[in-house]
Amino acid sequence: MIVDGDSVADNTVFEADVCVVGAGAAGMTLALDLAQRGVEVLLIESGGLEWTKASHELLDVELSGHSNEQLVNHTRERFFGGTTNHWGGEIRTLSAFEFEPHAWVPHSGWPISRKDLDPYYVAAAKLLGLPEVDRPFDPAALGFGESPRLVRPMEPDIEAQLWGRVPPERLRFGQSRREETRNSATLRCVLNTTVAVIHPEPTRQRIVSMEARTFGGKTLHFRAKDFALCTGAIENARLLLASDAAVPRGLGNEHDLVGRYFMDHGAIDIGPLLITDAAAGPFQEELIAENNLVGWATTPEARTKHQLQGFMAIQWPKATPLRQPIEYSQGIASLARGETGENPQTPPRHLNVVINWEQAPNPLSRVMLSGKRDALGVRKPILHWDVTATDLASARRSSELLSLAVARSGYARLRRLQNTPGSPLTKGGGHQMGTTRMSVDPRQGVTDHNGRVHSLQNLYIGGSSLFPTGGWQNPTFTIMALALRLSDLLATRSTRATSV
Amino acid sequence: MRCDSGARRPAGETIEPAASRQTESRFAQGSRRDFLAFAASLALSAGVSHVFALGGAPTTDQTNAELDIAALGEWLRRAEPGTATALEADARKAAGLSPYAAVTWPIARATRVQLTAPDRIATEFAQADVVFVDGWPLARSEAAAALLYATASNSPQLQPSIHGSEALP
Repeated sequence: MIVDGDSVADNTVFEADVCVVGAGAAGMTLALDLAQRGVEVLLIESGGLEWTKASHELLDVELSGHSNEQLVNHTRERFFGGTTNHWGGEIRTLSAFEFEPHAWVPHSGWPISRKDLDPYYVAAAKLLGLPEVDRPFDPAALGFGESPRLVRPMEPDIEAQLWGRVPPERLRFGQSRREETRNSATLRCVLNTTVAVIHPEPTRQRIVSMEARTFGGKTLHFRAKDFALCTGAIENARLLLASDAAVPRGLGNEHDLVGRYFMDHGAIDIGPLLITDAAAGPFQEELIAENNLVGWATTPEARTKHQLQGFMAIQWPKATPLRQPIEYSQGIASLARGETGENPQTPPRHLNVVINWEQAPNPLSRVMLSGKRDALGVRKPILHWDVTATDLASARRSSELLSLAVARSGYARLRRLQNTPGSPLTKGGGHQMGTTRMSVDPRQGVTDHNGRVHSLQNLYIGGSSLFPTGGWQNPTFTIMALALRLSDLLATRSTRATSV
Repeated sequence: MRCDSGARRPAGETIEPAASRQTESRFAQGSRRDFLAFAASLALSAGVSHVFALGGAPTTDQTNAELDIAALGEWLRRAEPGTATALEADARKAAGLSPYAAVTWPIARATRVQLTAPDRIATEFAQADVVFVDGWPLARSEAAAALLYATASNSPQLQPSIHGSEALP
């Protein structure tokens, strides 16, 4: 069932077993999975079925540090389906290596392992209509015949990687899961309703209710046995921090950790891949037709040896003008090709290469609250995205390894990431993470290994704000797997509570 | 050897020569020879090409590919003069040239063939014996060859060498 918050009476009280806030990748996955198990669920969504300026403006963030508007305001959506409404659909799991603590990356490592998520990755793949969780990079199986030189593994520092892509009909949850939501007998989705305050009981050990506001000026109340915040890394922290009437500094913030360890993937178009061997194909255009993306990542061995954070690169077929004089790259191509003639061979072909690099967990990178309020009276967040010299050095060194590997292959040249003034080294990838990180130790993380806020018995977090370490992989698939894992837990709790 | 062309610079400073952006727009629609003449004039003003002091004009019988490589070498010389000096010394040694001998195009071409033999380049990349020119990786010997081309493009093409001590191959 889908209802509009403004269509019900002021001060209506909704009740259910589980109350989920945010109808994006995490919240919708969690809510629908619970509903399918017969759990009574409330799903509260700040926006409507379609994008509106009013709901989008509730995302407004005050920026500090390396933060930029591209990072925060153009990479999130606040309506039914959440940020899946502009999701690219690239699918990668976090590898076992990403879950492990790395001695050279402070605060790294998860309190769970890849094995803990394995069954949920399988379930998430099924939801998305994908045949496999991780499709291995096997050129022959992919129909490329012999290993194409352009994408072959380049040991020891760089390895080829294959991304799955979500079929278009499954990509936008706001579309693909709308009827399922509308027709569910146990799920009520309340639109245009923004949670403003979370109320704990007097003992401060449990959440009693959530107070929400509508654009029409109504106040609605939501009661449940368990609550789950699934509003994204910035908004999850904002809600906890803003709920400070009963608990100074906000809910779950006993150790001043809520909002800290904000991470994003540094993302940048690194420039052209200069193809110097015409026999290097196939190129990404052909690969995309196979519903895959091919790229590279630094190997665990290279990361261990060189003490690097994660790094990946994808060839992107969109052609853009070169950023340097054409004489320059043609000189490189002529050298690489051994050209001497008046009329060079076919002009060097260019493919764009986009890189993502992992930011190390950093307590100084954080979401805070501003004194300013949004249209519904909730204090706005301040985002201070702190990118360190270590982050940048890791990205640069990783790109250098890739550049060397490409050159060694003999088919192309790729420019290394430069430290050029004004270059968007710190442009965000739209993968906000951290802020309510998991840890077994309440002094190291806001949530436990299940995503429950340490100090509260019935408040859970969904989404990438749980990530203690980001990895280089696109996060949405892991967000979904975590949501399905949380669904298992909450369904069990709901069953127990009912039987009692 | 690894020459990290940005490592010795203050944080945030580009290694790209200041004139590069200007050059890009100025010659975007022009010929490569115009571009090379401009690059050569920059080199002359910076005093990096001793041979210009001898007078004479660059010859115009080079191919576009050769001029592209020469422009690349000129870029490297301006961005990393210290590295360029060392690399060109290697190239001259390979060519059997003294440090001050003029570089003719026939010498530069023959030396390039020698320096950029596929096995040699593969070995240098395998050993990360590279120079990054504005971020682009060149095997050390490729960079040396490009520098020799840059010098040839700035040299009066006297036949034989004005020093008389290096016969053409």
